[in-house]
Amino acid sequence: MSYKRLIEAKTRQAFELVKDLAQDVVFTRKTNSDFNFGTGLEESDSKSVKTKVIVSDNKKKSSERNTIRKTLMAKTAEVGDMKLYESISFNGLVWKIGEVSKNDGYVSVVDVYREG
Amino acid sequence: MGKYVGLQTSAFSVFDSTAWKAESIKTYPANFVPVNPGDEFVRVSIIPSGRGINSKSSSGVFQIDIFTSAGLGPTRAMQLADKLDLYLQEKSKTVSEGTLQFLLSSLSLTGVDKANSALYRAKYTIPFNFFGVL
Repeated sequence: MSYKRLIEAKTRQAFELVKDLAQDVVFTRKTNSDFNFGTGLEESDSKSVKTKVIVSDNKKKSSERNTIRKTLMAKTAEVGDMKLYESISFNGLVWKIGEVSKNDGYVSVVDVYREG
Repeated sequence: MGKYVGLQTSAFSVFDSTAWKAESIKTYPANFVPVNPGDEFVRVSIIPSGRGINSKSSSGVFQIDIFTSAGLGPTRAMQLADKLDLYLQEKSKTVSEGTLQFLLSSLSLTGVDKANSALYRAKYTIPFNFFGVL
């Protein structure tokens, strides 16, 4: 087994070992988009990817507004380039994708935001 | 229709025209994230920061960020700015919401894009007056 496959297998195993700390989520991204200047609206297609994430941080971002930020870890092999995603759904709520702080090819760490 | 949506409708009609579309310059508004914009595109921001002559009118600046490939010199950015001039500078556009009048443009070459060093960025600005229909 190559080192790359070995690390990916161990990453999958790690997400299984943490049991319910890894939550089921759905990432949504645009696969094609254009802007119609006639209507002033976006025209796009989207694609969803189901995976598991681990919430590593959770805090209120702003003292002026109830902006909530979560930091999530996901398996890069399943989600690919996190910057392509727009939103993530879990626990019945939709969060917007923010900054991707880490992507080592195996684990991606991303901030997601929501107005609470 | 309100003042600001009327202004936007007038402004967007420029980029919705058959002639502009035929230029094949990828054009996006501010606060829009395209999936694959490539290495040459423009992004239009309308800044209605000034007063108008009545409650349906305003004035301000169009700021158009021009993105081209980095490392190839400023020529392409200049060419795209000239293209924008053809459609905007000293032109006026009348739609049902009012008349949008453009003044004289300027261009600032801001250098390599901070977010993507593969792109070179120039800032094209042109003041406007919008006379909305009361």
